[in-house]
Amino acid sequence: MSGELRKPFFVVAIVAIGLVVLVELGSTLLIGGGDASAALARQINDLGVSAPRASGEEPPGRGVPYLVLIDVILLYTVLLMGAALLLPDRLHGRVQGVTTLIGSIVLIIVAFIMGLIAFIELLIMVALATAAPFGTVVYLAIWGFFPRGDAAVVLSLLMFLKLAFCVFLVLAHQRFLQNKGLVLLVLTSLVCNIIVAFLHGLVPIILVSIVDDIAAIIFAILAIIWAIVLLIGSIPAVVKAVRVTVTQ
Amino acid sequence: MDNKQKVLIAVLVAVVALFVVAIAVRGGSGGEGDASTVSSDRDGLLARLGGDPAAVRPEEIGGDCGRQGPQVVVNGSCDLQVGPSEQRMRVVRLRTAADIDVTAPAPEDADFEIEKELAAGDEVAVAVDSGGASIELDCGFNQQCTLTLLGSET
Repeated sequence: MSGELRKPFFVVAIVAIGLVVLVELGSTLLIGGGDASAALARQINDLGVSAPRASGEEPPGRGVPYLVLIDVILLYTVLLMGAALLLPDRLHGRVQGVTTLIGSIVLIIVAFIMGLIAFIELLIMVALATAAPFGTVVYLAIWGFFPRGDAAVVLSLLMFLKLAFCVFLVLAHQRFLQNKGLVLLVLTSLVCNIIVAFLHGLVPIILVSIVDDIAAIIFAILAIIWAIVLLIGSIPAVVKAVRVTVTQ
Repeated sequence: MDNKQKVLIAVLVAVVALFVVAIAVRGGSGGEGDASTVSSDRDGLLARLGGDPAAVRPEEIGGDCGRQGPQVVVNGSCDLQVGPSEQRMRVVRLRTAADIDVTAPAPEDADFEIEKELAAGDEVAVAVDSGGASIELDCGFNQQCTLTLLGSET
């Protein structure tokens, strides 16, 4: 299975990973939003407090949307490979260096801010959950009833698309398996999917939002690590592009 | 089929198996859970994860209740006013020496009030966001009762 790149399979792989990113970006619309008032009323009753006007809503969580921080790198990487088919080699080299440099810096900043937001939210969640009973009721109303079923459906769809991406990428050209960076990135993405699914099932529903937030923080950290790797990797290409430009 | 393809298939099968196990684990995770157990576990994993939330400082607390150091004296009923702060989440911890009703607005823009009937010796943590709050204390008509602001005894 050597030889030329099989473009149809490669295009399908790009579409699959593109869909992964779109589903993750739109996951806040797919997960949560349901009414949790009945479950909230039950828990409030157990806490021995009265809050007649309290109403609860299922939260969308941060774990699934934060997967996009990893998968956008994967999408960028395969798009860059696709660009090599369309652009001349010299231009492609320069574009790759500059866009990777800028993109990795943007990703570091975005992932840091998103990680910080998730961390602050985690502290607030824990503070509220343990401040019985007044804080606990508010925690339950905002974050207490994570829709595990919705999340499992979205995660299963994402896993299917990621596996399809892997299969079609290898069908497009087996040499992609020799690209260790790409293989590691794909494995990171798959493992992150498993981590968030595992964490959602690990604890009772009222605590799922907390572990989901922890997963989001882990994904932000992983994205920063990958962005730093990309940043370092782009420097030689940028230096080369600058040298070529200066000598011209 | 060469070795690389075999390894790839093995890895993908392992990933699918792990994912299925991860999805299946939720069956044994204890269902909805019990909020009273979670909230009372102040020495547990949650408390260690987030640490104790910041206590409201005594100077941030005003209102029309009588104050003698950490003691809050309620004649019939009164309001403890917690001022605004840069901290997004704080708690007022109170211990009561008599039966009393405590009512406070839910923080974080939640549009409802929470009421708790406390018996003598009970402790309560009232969560207050950065905007402050008015905590209503009611120990009954013509009754006097005393609460202690915990974390400010010194």
